[in-house]
Amino acid sequence: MKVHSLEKIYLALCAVLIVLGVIAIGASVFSHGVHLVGPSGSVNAAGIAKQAPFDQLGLKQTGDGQYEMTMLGQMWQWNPIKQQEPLTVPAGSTITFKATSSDVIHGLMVRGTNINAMIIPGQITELTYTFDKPGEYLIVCHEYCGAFHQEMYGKLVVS
Amino acid sequence: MSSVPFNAELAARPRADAEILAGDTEFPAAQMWPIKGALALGLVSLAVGGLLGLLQAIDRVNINLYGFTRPVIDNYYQGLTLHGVLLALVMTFTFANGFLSLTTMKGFQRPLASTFLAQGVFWVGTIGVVLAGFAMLTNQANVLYTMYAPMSAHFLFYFGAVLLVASTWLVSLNQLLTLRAWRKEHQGERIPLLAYASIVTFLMWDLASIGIAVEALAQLLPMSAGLINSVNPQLTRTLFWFTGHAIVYFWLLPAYVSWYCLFPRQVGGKIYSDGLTRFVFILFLLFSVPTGLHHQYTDPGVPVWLKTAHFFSTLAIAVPSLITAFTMMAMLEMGGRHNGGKGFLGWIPKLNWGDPSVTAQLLAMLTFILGGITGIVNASYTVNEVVHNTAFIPGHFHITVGTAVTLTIMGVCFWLVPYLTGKALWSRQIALLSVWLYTIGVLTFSRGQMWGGIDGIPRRSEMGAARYARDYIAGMDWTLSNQLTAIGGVVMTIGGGLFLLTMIMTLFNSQRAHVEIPVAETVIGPRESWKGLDSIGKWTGLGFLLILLAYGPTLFILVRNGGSATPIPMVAMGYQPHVPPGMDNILVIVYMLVVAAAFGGFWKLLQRNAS
Repeated sequence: MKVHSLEKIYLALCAVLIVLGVIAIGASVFSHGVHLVGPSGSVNAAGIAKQAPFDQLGLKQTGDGQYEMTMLGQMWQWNPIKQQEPLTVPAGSTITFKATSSDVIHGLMVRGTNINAMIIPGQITELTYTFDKPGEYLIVCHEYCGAFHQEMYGKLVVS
Repeated sequence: MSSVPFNAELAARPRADAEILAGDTEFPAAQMWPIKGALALGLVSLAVGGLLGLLQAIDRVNINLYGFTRPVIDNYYQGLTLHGVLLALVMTFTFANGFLSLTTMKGFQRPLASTFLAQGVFWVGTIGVVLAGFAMLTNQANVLYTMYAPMSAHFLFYFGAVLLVASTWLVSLNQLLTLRAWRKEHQGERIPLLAYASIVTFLMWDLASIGIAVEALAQLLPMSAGLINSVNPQLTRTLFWFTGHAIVYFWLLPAYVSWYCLFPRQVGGKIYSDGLTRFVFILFLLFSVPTGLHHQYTDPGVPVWLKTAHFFSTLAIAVPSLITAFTMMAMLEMGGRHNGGKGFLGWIPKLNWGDPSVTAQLLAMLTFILGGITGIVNASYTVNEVVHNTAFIPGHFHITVGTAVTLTIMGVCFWLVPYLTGKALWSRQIALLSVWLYTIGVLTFSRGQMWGGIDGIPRRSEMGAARYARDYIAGMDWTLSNQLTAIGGVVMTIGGGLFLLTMIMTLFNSQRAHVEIPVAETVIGPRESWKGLDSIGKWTGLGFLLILLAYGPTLFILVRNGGSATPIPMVAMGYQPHVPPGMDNILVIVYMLVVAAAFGGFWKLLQRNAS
């Protein structure tokens, strides 16, 4: 098949560009320690409140600077987070979020962090992040989950 | 299969303008009216869907107009569902159905094989839109166009959507029957490029729509009919994105058909390479679907190694668009130099910027560069964590489907409506103004959305009602990005409104015009391109095999251990099962009659020849 020589050069450059892109993204996986969420076990969305670990919701300290936050996406709140009662941890703390949904699909995002994942009924989402920077962090639902979707939020204060 | 006499005499006759009746196309009227009907449905969808978009944009600066639209449009999410469904599904599908049926006929220089199917496309699609429209307008389908289970909508919503998808399959079937008939008449010849591109677009979509078809038949329809009481949300989401990424190419490829096969003629250039054009469409056929998991990088139920595999295949799908960038530039430079452009960049101002159809499509291409780049951001394994499900995403797709596709539809309509009706375009100046305003608006809108998204604004959220958006988090201020979004949305709407005004006034224009479908010639022609590209059956088979490789393991894993059946919650607000009959329903019916009248008027006017 006849292809113009200029176009061949262009295609070669495109191939180089794509390879460089793959290398850059691959490098960022290791340099920033990015771990995508993967299967962390499944639960039955019916009667979720009786199944571990969701029978005990809330922020628990599990070690020195180590925390675990177990939470439930529900229409329309992040159970047990209350909007006017922020969670608080000291700077440098590592929090592992364990979340699932008891009804429809939700999405968990902590603004300004890598905590960004879907919360799907039947699946456990597990994410870890170290909060080095003091400040206030918005915890918000980013997947449409019904009429009062915008009521699903809370606050984390890193002091 | 009925055979409609092709008006060969009319097609072959040298067409001295004075001799030809304006609006007299070379194709049988029985196959032309469904095309006009599809176009009318698409334009009415653009009008209604676009206006609802305006309400969403100004909600960002706390202007809430839902008080005025109630009870027809009760709330933000109902409007958002209609906006998404009407623009992303109805406008795009009906345009593809109508436009690519016409380009198939033009490419083959013969009518479609089946008039029954051609008309069936129109009826099946229209009934689908009416049924789904009823569910959405009566507040019984506030599930957005992604319709993730277990949130549940009225049965008619899913049923209508299925009919709309079925209408596209009928187009594809008719194209293939026409190809078969054409091959009998032209043994050993290469498939004409225009027909080839039109057919491969639909074959790609046939493969892509398997996912949503299975989702609808196995989960959504039984769920909404009350036949099953639990679903697998991770599985339905995966089936949705099986189709959901490739669907963007079903929006885009009709625009590519225009860019590759018609547009060069409009700018005085030629199609750069027949072979590479075919190759680009084949690449889309092969790689559109096996990339879908990059929409699910953050899904807990999908194994990471599969996400990684799809990351690599996603980059493959950038190749055809990179080739397109080269081909378009080459074609445009050729056209500009043909018009007398000199020097390194001197050909750019010599392009036919005074022709609204050309300008619309040039702007479509320019803005699509940004759309493509932001798409690569989304597809990037790591960077996606920053932008996933934030306002960055609507920022991105408003400069892909909202520009490349929408502006191309506008540009095509500037010659297509005069071609179909025989009436001259109403006002060149206002047509030009409409596309410039629309472009400036959409770029401003997307700038606001993407900026806000990177700063943590979630997508699909009613910002006006979100209490966290103001004075909740110290140091967080989204005001300026939201203002840009709102201003952009207003400017876009004015541009879109002027476009629709141009269309309506063209239909009433007493001035006649004789317009032909601009079919471009090639520089490197079909004789020099690889014949194997024409074996589209084999390529489709290969595409199916790639899908099995990419999705087989995923679906196997999800069906086997993702069997976490989730009960369908009764509180799912997407569906209020017992809406009492009353004022609301009457108003909805009145509203639907008004929309139907607008549609009927559009259609009628499209039928009427100037003679």
